Amino acid sequence: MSDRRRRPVSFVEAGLLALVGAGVLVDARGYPAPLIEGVPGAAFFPGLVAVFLTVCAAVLALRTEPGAPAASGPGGGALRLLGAVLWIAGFLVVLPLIGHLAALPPLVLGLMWLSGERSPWILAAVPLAFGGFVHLLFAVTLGVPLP
Amino acid sequence: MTEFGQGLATALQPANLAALLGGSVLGVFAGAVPGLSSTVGLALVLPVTFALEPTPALLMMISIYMAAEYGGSITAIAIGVPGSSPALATTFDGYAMTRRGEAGRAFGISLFASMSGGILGTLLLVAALGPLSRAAIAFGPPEYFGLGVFGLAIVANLVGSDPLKGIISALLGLLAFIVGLDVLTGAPRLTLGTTVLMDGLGLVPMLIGFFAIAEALNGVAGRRENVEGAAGMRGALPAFRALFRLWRPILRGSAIGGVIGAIPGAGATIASIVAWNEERRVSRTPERFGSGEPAGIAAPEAANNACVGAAMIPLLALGIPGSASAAVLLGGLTVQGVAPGPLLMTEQASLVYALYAGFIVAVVFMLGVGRLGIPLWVRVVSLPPRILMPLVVGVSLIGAFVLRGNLADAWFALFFGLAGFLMLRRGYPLAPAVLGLILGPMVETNYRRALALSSGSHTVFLESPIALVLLLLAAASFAAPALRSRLRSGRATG
Repeated sequence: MSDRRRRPVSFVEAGLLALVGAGVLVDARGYPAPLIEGVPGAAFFPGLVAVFLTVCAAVLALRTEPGAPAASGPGGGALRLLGAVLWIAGFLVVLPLIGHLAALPPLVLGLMWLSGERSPWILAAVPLAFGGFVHLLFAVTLGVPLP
Repeated sequence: MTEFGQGLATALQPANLAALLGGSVLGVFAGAVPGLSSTVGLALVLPVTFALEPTPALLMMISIYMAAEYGGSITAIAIGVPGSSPALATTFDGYAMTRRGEAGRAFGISLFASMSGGILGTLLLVAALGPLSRAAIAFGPPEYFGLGVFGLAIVANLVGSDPLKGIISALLGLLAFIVGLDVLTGAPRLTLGTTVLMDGLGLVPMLIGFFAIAEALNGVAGRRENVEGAAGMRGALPAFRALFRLWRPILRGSAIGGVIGAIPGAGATIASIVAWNEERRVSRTPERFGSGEPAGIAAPEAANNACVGAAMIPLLALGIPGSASAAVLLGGLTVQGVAPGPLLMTEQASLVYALYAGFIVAVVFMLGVGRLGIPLWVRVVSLPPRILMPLVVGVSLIGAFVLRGNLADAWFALFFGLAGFLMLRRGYPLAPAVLGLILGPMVETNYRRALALSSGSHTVFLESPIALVLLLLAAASFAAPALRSRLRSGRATG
């Protein structure tokens, strides 16, 4: 017996893709008209891509897929994943405020901890050494202005 | 030959040798760090060259350019993150070999192919400076459109097991390139009314997000394969005989890199992707590409290094930079009072021959620096991912910022990282999206330009033999996977 069926998550995906396509089409309505008669203007290519995307979304929604998911979900890792994204976002927020020397070690420390590193020595030494290495390399040796 | 001998003698002077060696070390580093590239490496060193004499200054710059093309493959092979965009195609098979515990072999193939491509590209530069530069400027909008479509056709070979999701991925990449100001009218497109999106999303944030941050998020979610656990990680280089067996992919890759590199604006990224695709197309075992096929490393690496010499052809003969890196080199030439163009060979022949010889010496230094570095790269690969990936994220975010000095690029990298993670989780391949972002501008801009020149007549694409051949090749490339699978199923049933 075939294990192929329509899966709700594909409908959600297809809906999101169709929404993106529709958004592009709406945005493209405001682009300037072609400068030369018969020659595509600024709206042509985005419109074309949006139409193709919407068609693909429709096919995605209507087709059947194997019962098994495309890839296993993060499961228990979902919270860690969210934590990592927020940690990186936090780094980008504080980077211009406190500078790269102060911001980089906590970034690396947090990501290492979230990735499963538990040795206190490694958690202390690697981020500090990394911050110093990046500073020496970019700011001192190459003269690149960093925040 | 006498002139070349004199050029070689100039290149071998101690000051020039030091410049070439320093350029090799810097170039390998600039290529290997995600976010940096040969262009950034050259731009960083440009102020340093002001204090040098013209010959060592220019030799240092060509050495950086050459070594950075190899350097990009280091992180591509080691951690699956292309150090620079021309190394994108190398990740397909290079990282797969690393996961199999064959990192040393992959690095050896990459280095040998880069060296061979670099030498062949230089020979092309010497032999074809005049005629090829005239052919290169024959490329107009219809030909560039054909080249772009031919490149996009490669999506057909990158879609993986689910063609629909591969196509959707490519379309999302095309949408990503649309964000920003329209090149032809200056109209803001998909900028959501903000100024921060007017410069576009950029290729480097996408590469960093897709290949570095998405991988790190995979690790955090506990789903990244532990490369150290793939033990048997061997740092051993492949035997010379094994490398020599790759002469066909290297020659084909070099030829593709030589031709595409000489076309202004086409660049090493397109050349290496086309080389990988062509190698897969002519292979008797195309199904092995993407899962650690040595020819899948050799061809793109030879192509992107062959591009270096080839990109110098329009630069030196016509003063037209063939790539962003060549544009920085043009700046270096101008600062040193060297005026590229048709008169260069008559007015500054000794400098040109020193540059020719310098390319060969730069390749030798690249080989030395690269060979000495392989044990180090293998050791880096052996670091536990829970330590390695956070460091990669840190360097990548700084690299994303450094490119344009814009923190928004680091935010874009995070956005692409999250998008890449979700796409991978849902079975969408990432490479087609990257290809869409790279080739979208070439396809759209030249399609519209060609039609503007022909008053809207599509026959302009059929009247150009080059465009026609490229479009036919694109059609063949689109159709090839389907035909191949039909033939295979026919054989299986019959």
